[in-house]
Amino acid sequence: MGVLDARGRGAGRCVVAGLATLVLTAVAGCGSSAGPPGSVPTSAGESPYQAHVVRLPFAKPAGVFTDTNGKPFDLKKDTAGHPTLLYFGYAHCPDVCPLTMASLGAAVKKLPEQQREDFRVVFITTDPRRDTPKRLRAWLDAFGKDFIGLTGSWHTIARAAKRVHVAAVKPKPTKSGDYQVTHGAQVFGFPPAGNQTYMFSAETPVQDFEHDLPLLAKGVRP
Amino acid sequence: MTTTPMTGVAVIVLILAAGCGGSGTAGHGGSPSRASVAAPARATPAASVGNLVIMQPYLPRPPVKDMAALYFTVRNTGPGTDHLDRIEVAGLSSDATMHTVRNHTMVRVRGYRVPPHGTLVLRRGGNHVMLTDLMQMPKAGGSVLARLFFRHTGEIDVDIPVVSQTYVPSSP
Repeated sequence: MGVLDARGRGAGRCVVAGLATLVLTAVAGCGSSAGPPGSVPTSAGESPYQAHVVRLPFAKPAGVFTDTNGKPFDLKKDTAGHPTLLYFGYAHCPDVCPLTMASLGAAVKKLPEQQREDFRVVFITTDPRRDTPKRLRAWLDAFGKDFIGLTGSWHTIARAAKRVHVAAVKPKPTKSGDYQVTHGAQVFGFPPAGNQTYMFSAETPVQDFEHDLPLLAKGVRP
Repeated sequence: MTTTPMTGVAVIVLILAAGCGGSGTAGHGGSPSRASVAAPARATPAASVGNLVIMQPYLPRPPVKDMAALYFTVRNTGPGTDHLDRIEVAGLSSDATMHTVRNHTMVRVRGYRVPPHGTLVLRRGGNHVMLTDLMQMPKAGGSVLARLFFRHTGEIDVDIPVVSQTYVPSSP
């Protein structure tokens, strides 16, 4: 398991990164990846990170959301200067989303206190209709009491997702009465300073996050 | 803000393969730290009837009470195809449904095929049984009883260990 099967491993009721126009393939041996312009896939020999991390030339997405207290939250401004992790998902996802958030939660808890307090873990819902601030809070509390849950207009959510090339598809009920929602296949890490994004697989094993978050907090490049 | 390097709908499908960065722990029992995440021992079959053996059942402790997923592997040692038609987890939920992932989309299915001399694998991001409206919160270290209804082999009761949220089996 581990990240080997990251491809297409969506989750319950999840549409993972459909409409793919860009396939970033980091195969065994690495270095042969074709990412977005300027992306730099790291390889085992070069990176101090334990997870496979891809450097992307994107800044943290902008957008003013609503947090779980119902207060406005400016994603760029309110996380400025903090090491930040960003994940797009939804709280009615039984399969992969909880695994990703639990892994982040476990890894953050292992950080030294100062780094832990400095970190911002941000979850943006891709299902704003069902994920009310209250519902988001209850769900996120299972992973981290200080995790930041954001919702907002679909326009705001989709625009932020697009900035980091996650295809957030507006949730819709299916004919069978099922309900399809997008979650990201990636967790985005942002160092405290700079305009780069470090992309982890959403199924990065918890011990890799534990190893790598202190590096991210220090702004170490993968 | 930097400029967006691509226009239109752009998505990154990240395909990570083994061999990179030390995180490609495919098989081999996983790394020692991963094994420590596991609660139950899973070398022995959890249950078997006829030609079917149920292996590695687990239910990650859900974050909230309204939804959970459970997983297991069915090994078919016989020459005939069987089908898993229904699952009951009566002590935990009255609503257990089977799902799979097709073209990156999770879809509900009526059941799963168990190929002859083959295996049916339920795992994170693939086939899974979804339980909704849980009667109580499953506790890690505990277990729940599931009854699997196979078309030909019949019923099998399986004790499903509740594992930590970060649990991932060392090999499916």
